[in-house]
Amino acid sequence: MGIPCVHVTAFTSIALDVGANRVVFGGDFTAPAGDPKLPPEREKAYRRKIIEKALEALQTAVPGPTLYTVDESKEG
Amino acid sequence: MGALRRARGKDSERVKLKAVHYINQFFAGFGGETAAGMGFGVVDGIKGPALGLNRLWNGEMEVAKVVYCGDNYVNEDANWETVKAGVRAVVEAEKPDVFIAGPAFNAGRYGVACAKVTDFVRAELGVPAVTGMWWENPAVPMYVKDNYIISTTETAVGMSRSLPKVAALALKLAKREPIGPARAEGYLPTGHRRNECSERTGAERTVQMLVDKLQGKPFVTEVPLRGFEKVPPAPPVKDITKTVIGLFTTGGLVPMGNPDKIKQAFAVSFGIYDIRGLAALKKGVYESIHGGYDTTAASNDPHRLVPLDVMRDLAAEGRIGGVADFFGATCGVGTNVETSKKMGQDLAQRYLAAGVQAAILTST
Repeated sequence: MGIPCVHVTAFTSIALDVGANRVVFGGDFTAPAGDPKLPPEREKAYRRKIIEKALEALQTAVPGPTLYTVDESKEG
Repeated sequence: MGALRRARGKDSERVKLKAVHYINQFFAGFGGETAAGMGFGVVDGIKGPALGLNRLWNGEMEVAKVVYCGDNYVNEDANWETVKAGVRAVVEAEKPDVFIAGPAFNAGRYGVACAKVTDFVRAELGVPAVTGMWWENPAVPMYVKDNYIISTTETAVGMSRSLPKVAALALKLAKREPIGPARAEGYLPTGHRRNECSERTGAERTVQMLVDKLQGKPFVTEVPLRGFEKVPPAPPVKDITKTVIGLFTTGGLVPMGNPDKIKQAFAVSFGIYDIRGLAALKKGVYESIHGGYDTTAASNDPHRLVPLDVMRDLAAEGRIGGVADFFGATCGVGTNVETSKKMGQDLAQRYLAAGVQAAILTST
């Protein structure tokens, strides 16, 4: 009955440890879906990459806690 | 040593402590599964592990009566009153100093039977009681909170290693001696905490533990960490372009002023916020009230917590079926596991009712 869920967080070690099955590394501790150090358009592009990675995870069968990472936020 | 002098009616020469022992049909010698339906009875003489207990007590205590019941019979609700009546009659006649059941090792029905009877004797007949079983026996979570359950080996192959622990605790209970912590007496932790004095300060004990750990020596933690329940992964989404996705954050994003008064820490609730027709979450309309991190960045751009802007773009492009009409939020600091489970279950119900078939959870 479960609904597939992706956990987006910078604290991936905890997420994986407690058993979240689809984990996407995101942003920094205070901004999981962004990066305050980036200029706004770059930050939004990075956010999009994080979410697209989340969508990928949602469409993938995983055996257990699995970590997804986004490429360097510096890549436009 | 330590034999009590007591007067039992006119027979004031009896000095030994007395126990009553409960076992199942198998240990009573009637057979295994074929005899599991037999009812409550009293063994003629002393049979089974009681012989081992008597040897271990070496004259200080002895089993006065061995009682038994079939593992299927005792676990059927309809028979429980009859079994209780049988146990009560024997306990009232014998007036034992302690009641012992099992040990049941990893046998589920026998374990539940032992724990049930032990619990009944302790709680309703007022006689100290002890049983024993393997830590994973299903009876343990049901009864360990209020009962002494000695930690035994997994199977009866370990009877000779397990029985001494049962015998020792039973003797202490019979003598009404104070019972120490689980690690000292060999029973399964009950979850109760008692303060005790130590000769060394916490700092000394911690440093000693660290030194031992660094030197590869064995050490015992004073605070065992709980494990987490394993939740199997949900099956993947089949067609993401037709899937409505829900957003939830534990980063504490709420409408300005926190109208639902979500707690900033140790939250017990989550809020549900309507985002129909909204293309973006604006600074000044939403804020983060989470008590566990610097919320400046999040409050300056709520999308850092709830990525609505990107989700709307993806929906407009046909990449996803849509975004749920609401986002959910709570503060994920000090939220206990039980509450979190309940919140998750509640949220799942809401999603299902709203046709939301996938979710993205953002955590700080």
